[in-house]
Amino acid sequence: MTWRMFYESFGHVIALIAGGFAFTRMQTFHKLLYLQILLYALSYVSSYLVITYQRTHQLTLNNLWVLNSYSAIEAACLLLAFYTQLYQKREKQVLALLVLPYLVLLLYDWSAHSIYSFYSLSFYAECVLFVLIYSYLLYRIVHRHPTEWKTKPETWMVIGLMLYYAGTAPYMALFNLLNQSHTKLLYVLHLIVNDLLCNARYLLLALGFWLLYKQNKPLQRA
Amino acid sequence: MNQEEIVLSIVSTSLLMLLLIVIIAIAFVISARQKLKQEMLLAETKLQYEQELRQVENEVSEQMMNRLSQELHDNIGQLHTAMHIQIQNQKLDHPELKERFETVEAYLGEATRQLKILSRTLNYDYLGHAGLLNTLDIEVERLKNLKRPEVSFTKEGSISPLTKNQELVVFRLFQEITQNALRHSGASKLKLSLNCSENQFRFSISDNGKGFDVENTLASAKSNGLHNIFKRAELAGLKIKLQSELEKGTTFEISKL
Repeated sequence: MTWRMFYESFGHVIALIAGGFAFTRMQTFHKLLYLQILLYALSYVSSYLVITYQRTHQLTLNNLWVLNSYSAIEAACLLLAFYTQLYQKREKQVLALLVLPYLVLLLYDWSAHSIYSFYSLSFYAECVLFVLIYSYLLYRIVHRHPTEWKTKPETWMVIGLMLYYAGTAPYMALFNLLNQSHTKLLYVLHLIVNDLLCNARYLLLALGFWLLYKQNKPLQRA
Repeated sequence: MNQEEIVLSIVSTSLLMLLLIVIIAIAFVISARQKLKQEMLLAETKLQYEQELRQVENEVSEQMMNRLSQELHDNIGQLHTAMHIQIQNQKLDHPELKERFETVEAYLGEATRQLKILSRTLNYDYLGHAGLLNTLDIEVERLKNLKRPEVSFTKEGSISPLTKNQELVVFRLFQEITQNALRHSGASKLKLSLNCSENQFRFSISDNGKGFDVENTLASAKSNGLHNIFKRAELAGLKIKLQSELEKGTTFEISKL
């Protein structure tokens, strides 16, 4: 294992372990977030295998199609997790309205760009969407539990997601541009923006799972 | 744009976005705290309003009872006195009917005594003047005169730690609870137990009547009286513990919070 692999995945591994401990106390919301972590692990391993295969067969190195596929699945998981927290019909209608631009941009990316280039437009829309909807969830958690929000697992999970999507949006928006002209720069930015925020996101998810594990009984919906 | 500038612009934009998220989270927490404060203030105002409302209700109710007490004492009581004098005169005029008049006189004497007790227990001034413990004795005496249920009263301590308002509430609650027991429980025994000292007050009222399901009764629409008992006690700074078992009886315990 290289230092980079460790740096890229240590937050993620901690979240996987913490989630494993808390699994019996999870509700659908937590289980969907845990599923997303498992899928991330799968996509990470797949990307590594693809690159290794391409390298051994002296093919052009490109695993962006794995990232594109994973991004769509990750978005589906996180949307479903958010959906489990909605009780009112109006909330669901607003969610449908917010998801619509993302779907349109995703379809546009699929049709207009090759799968071997990163779908930065739809990913940017995904960032905006998740920052918006998870801000709403955070608002609701804090207002429903004004004195005990700090001990609610969902608070830290949601903050982790918000920080990641808000922080990576500028970098991901310029991903293709940098990939074409500044490949080395992209590598540096990936380390100091994406990987750092990814670790923050998964460590906060791990904190949420740990809090869930510490609870004596299953939590009610956030 | 050179590479350093690109890195700097992307990293600084990311940092700005992160800062924005932190500000949003802090704003949520602050607004939630303010909302909580407002809700607490609203709850306090509501409680204060309820206390004032209850106080006004109590005052009106006490005034009415005082008036009734005065009416019993001044009017009916005077009529009783007139009847006593009349009977005395008749006994003197008709010595041969003396025995018959004595029976009537005995009944009248008992009625006058009962009236006097009732008049006292209705009178807030008397309660304020004589204190809860003495007034309870009078009320227990009145209940004992009813013959059924059989009433027993044990008393430990002679100092009431309650305020005058609390004493009044305890007494009225006691009257309401015993009235309910007499009307609805079908109890043959009523056991009263008072334990009071400078720091504690515990008054228990138990009957051996038919009892009821506390949870279901409190949840039903017929429980206004019961809720009222709890509410009045709470607003006066008292605590009520209620236990009831079907066919075994009911116990109310009033204590100081």
